[in-house]
Amino acid sequence: MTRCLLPLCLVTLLGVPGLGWAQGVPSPASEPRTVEVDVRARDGGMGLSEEDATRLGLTGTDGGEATLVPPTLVADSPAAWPEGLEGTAGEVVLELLLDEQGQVAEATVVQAPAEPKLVEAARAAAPGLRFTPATLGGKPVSVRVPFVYRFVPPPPQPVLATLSGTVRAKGTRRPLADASLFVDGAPTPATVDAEGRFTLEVPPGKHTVEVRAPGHRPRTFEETLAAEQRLEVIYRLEPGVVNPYETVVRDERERTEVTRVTLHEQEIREVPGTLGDPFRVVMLMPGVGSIASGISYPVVRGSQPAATGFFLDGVRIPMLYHLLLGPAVVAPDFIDTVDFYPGAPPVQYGRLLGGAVEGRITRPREDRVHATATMDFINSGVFVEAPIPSTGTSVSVAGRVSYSALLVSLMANALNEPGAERVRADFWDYQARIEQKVGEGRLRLFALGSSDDVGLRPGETHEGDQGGGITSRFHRVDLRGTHPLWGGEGELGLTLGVDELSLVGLETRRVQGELEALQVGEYALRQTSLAARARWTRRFGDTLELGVGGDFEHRRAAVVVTGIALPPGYKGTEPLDPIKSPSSLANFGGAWTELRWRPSERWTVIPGLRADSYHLFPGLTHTVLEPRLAVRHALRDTLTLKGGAGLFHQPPTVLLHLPVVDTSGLRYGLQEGLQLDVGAEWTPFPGLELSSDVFYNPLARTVELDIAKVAENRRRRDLALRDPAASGYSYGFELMARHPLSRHWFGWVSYSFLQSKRRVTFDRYDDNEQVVETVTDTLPFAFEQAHVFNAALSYKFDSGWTLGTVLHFNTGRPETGEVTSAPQRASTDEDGRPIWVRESRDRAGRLEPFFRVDLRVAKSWVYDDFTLDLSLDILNASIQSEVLGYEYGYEPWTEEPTLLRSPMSLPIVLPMLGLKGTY
Amino acid sequence: MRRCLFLLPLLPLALACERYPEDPVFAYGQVLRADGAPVEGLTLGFERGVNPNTFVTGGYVDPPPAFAPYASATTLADGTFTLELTYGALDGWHQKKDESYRFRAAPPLDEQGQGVVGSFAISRGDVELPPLRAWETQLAVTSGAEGATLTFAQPPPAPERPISARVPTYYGSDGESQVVDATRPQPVVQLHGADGLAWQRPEATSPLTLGAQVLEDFALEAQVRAMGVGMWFFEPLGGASSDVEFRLEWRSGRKALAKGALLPVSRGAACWPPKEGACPWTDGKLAPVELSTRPVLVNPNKPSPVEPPPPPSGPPPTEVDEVGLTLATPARPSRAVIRGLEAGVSYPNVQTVVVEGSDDGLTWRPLGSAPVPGREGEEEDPYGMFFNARLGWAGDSPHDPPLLVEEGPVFLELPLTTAEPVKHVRLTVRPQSGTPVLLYLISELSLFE
Repeated sequence: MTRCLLPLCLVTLLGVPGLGWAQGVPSPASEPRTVEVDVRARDGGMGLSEEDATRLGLTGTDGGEATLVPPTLVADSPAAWPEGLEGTAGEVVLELLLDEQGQVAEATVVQAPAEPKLVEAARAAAPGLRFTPATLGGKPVSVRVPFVYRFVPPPPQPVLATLSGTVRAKGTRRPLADASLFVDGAPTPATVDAEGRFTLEVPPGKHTVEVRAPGHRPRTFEETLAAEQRLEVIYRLEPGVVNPYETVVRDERERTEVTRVTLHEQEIREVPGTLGDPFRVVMLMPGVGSIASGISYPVVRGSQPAATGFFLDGVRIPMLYHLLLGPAVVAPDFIDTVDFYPGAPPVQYGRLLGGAVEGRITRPREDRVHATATMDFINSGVFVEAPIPSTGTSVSVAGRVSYSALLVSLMANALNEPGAERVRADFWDYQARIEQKVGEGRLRLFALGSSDDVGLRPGETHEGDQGGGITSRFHRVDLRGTHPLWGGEGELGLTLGVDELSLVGLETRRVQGELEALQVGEYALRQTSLAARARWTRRFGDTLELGVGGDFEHRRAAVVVTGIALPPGYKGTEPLDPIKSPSSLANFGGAWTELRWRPSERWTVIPGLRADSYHLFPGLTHTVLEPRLAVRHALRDTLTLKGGAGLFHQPPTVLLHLPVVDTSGLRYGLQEGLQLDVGAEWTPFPGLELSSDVFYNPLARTVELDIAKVAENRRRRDLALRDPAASGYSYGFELMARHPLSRHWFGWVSYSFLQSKRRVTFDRYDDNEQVVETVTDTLPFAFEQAHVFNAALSYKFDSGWTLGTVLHFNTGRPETGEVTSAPQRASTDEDGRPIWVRESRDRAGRLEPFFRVDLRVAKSWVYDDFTLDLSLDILNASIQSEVLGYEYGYEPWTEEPTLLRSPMSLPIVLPMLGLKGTY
Repeated sequence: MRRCLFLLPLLPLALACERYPEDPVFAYGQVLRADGAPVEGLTLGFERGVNPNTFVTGGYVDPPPAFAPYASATTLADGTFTLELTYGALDGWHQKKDESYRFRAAPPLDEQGQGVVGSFAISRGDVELPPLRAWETQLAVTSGAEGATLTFAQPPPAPERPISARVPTYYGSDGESQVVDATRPQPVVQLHGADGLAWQRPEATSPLTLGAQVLEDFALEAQVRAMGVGMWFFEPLGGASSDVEFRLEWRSGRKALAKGALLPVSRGAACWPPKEGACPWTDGKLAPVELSTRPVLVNPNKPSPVEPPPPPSGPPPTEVDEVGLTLATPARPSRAVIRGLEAGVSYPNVQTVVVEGSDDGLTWRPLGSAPVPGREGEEEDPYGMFFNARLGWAGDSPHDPPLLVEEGPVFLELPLTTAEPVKHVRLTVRPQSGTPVLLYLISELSLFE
């Protein structure tokens, strides 16, 4: 192969002016003729000497000096090796005479190699060279330049090896698309594709590959490759901070609600005291009170817990926790974010008087198989997600099962308590999702269900031994399709639901001479529902977005009472009263529309309207309209003012969602309330978000049934009921300062002030417990906690340790008799002996304030393809007892009866040592 | 409390288990006419009285408590009613009072004077009461020279156990168990005189003929009554367990008999132990006469009182184990009619009424004897489950004297045999062996030739 090093030669030549030629010096007056002069190097280029320039009349044209612009090669003309001499080394130095057109006019051999045929070859090739013409004082001139043809034998052909592979995050196996590979210290890295894959060709031998990716610790690998070897490798980089929760990167959703707190990743999985359950975190949000510490059904802005709806991607779910205090019924891995609307939720949320909590299901990950397994003292769970790329399908399943039976058995043996092994507290749940791409849309089938079963097995040695249990189950199957429609996005959903809450009585009876535990009675609330929903949203330009939707639900609810569950007085025919005999059939229908309007960069106005129809067969229909409005105004980029109002309705509620009851309760009419909320959101600097809300919720009509009253009403049969309807209001304000999830930590502080009142009719009693007066007054509602303070902090160290704590404080609820004791006062009987008698509600005191500290310590270990987390989570590590009521009795062991009011409290401490593996 | 057990996981909600005196308690019942038709729109009053802690043994009958109106319920078209009470109304425990209460309901009598009275002790919670249905007695009386004949209908059936109720179970020493349903009512025929009960025939069957000796020379009214007692437990799943002990007493109207025309030879005879004035069991008056002093004992079926009752004061107790009479002229009695005899209890509980005669009051020869029928409720309450309702509540009827069936006063007609006339006649009640038992009451002892 011939290589030409022309530029180097030219510069060398021109740098040595003595090597130029002059063919004579013309006078200015003479005829033009060819002269040859030397050029010399000067500051700023090459040129003629002043003397030559003057002589040739070239001064004055370009500042007094004649500057030579040398020619540059524009077309190469390589010389070919002469036949038979291929690869022979040699160097031919030519001197080329270039004419004013830049063509080679002449080539003279200045230096020849040993092989003369190479000179021939160089000379033959030289005329093919083309240069830009050299100029002198701006005019093309002919110049002589040296030119070297260097015949360099080609290097021996190298035999390469191929190194290919993937760069992943250690533990999560996430491909690192932004990884760089530096081979043998090369300054320029090789990169990887979106899947983290790379292919490198390297010479055989030993190589070092340094792999770097943002957020991960760099790591150097050594590879030794033989010639032509293909080596497939996986390079795993350890993340700087271990985060096993791999989630799909999401856009920050535009805020169109008055108040929404959105939590995700560690914020829903690593908050102390929550057992890693996303929905529990809501208990620490502003505006939330509690029934009792550990029971994670929020009391939102002083409403009954049942007034707050829990949704999973738009599907309302009836219960959240196993055994009320236990783990969540939905695997946390299925939950991507939790949105909490403490007040004035958007128009999609209907048939609710209070707030809404929406868990958004994770989008299926389509890259590879994912799996999670958890294990703790009482239960184990598993979550598996697998894509099927060939069909565009994704399948996810999760399940959990308790092994409390084993635990109880072990404890019974340890305590040597006969009969203790007959206690059971079993639960399980499942979730399954199949998601399929269909054209431009997606189809999703999501099923979930849960079962709790606690009770006591009767003894097997005596006839007549009794036992029983309470079982709570639900199942939901939801089919949802989303597809582009009319320039927007359409969604259609169909949900089938089954709910059951039953008490079962067991008794040991003799069957054919053998003692057997038989079911002898059942009290069951059973409900099936079929629901459909539709939604369509579309943007119109940059300022408008329209959403319309509707939903319909048909419910069939029945009460089954058999055997020993039959109450006294049961004759087989019950009065046709929906509460007393709550077998019922109902239809719920709703339609809504919402407009998101951004008249300017800083204003967002969202008017909405919802219409609902509640129909209880036969012939009872309530139809309501619910206008809603939310307005947001960004005063500055960091400060937004907001306000909202809306009308809300809900069927009568009992403490918690119970199947059947909210359907049959329609007989008592709807609850109606207005929600008014104003507030501000301010981000003074990145890493700190402040928000405040002031709300006022006038409640025109409430039907908040006490769970004991519901039972009493059933017993009351034909006797008249006191109208359960009341009215009231709640108001308060909420403050929150939040450090959102960052690399190492997150946390928040929230404070809520709440007043929730109801205008109710109640009795006053005399010393003989007889009702002497029935009065109506405005009193604190059973769930009013005036002050609630929460602080949560979680810090993740580079070492893989995470430490977190939560501090909670609340003032006490009033002692109303609802989920607490009924107030009593001291009095004396006719013999002058002290007795307790019932105190009227308006004179009731409050339960004592309560605080607790929760702790969470966790350690993560990253293995090549999975991570392992060991966590110790303790709700109420402070072992504080919350007073839930008072016992009104007498001092023991006293001669004279002495009244004693003793608090009923129990330190509800939930310690949970859990192990979690994530693949 | 079972309800609490189920709510254990719902710990704070378990507070709902706490019951307060003012919490409502419901009793469900029904009022029916004798023909079974429901009584609609009746405001049925319930009276309440304090159960006494002691009762008088030998006499068996507690004095009925001072019942006072307490609550009422109104019947619906099907005769059913729901009585609302309070938890604290059932007993005095929540006020540290050692008191238990019982309720009494007496629907109005029908035109024939037929009716039913219910007494109920309700414990702990909601109960179903047995239906209050009058008994169609169809009592008819035919009088003649030889006596009178009574006809009446079959007794009312025992109240049917509600499907929601359980009944007590008796566990024998052999490990076998026996459920104990409400007792089966038996007709009891009573003849009422102006000043007391002249005759009583438990387990009477229709027609019932009463001889001239039984009618003696009294002006009497005939009545048929029946009584049933029972106990129902309610343990509704998920609810509070409760129970009700009940006594139902049915009555007919009283029908007058033709006045008796037979005078006993014993009428006006002197007697012993000596009583002031004329002998009260030969005077033709039916008022009961006290003999021995009754001991006051604690009712074994009721909680002990906080303090033991004070010892009885007054004169030392009298102990009488025989009554006798001396005829004005010796006679050969062929029949004795013993009315209203109450005697002490012995063990084993097999007793015999013995009538003996004597010429001199020192040597006695037997004239006749008969076993004391049906003591200790062996027939109607073999396990003694319903002791309170059967005995302690026997006086609850506002219409009639106490109705005691098996343990009640003995009314006996006894054939006597003697070859020679006797001057003195005495009556004792003898156990299987040993000395005669004490006698507490007697109304009249009549001898006929």
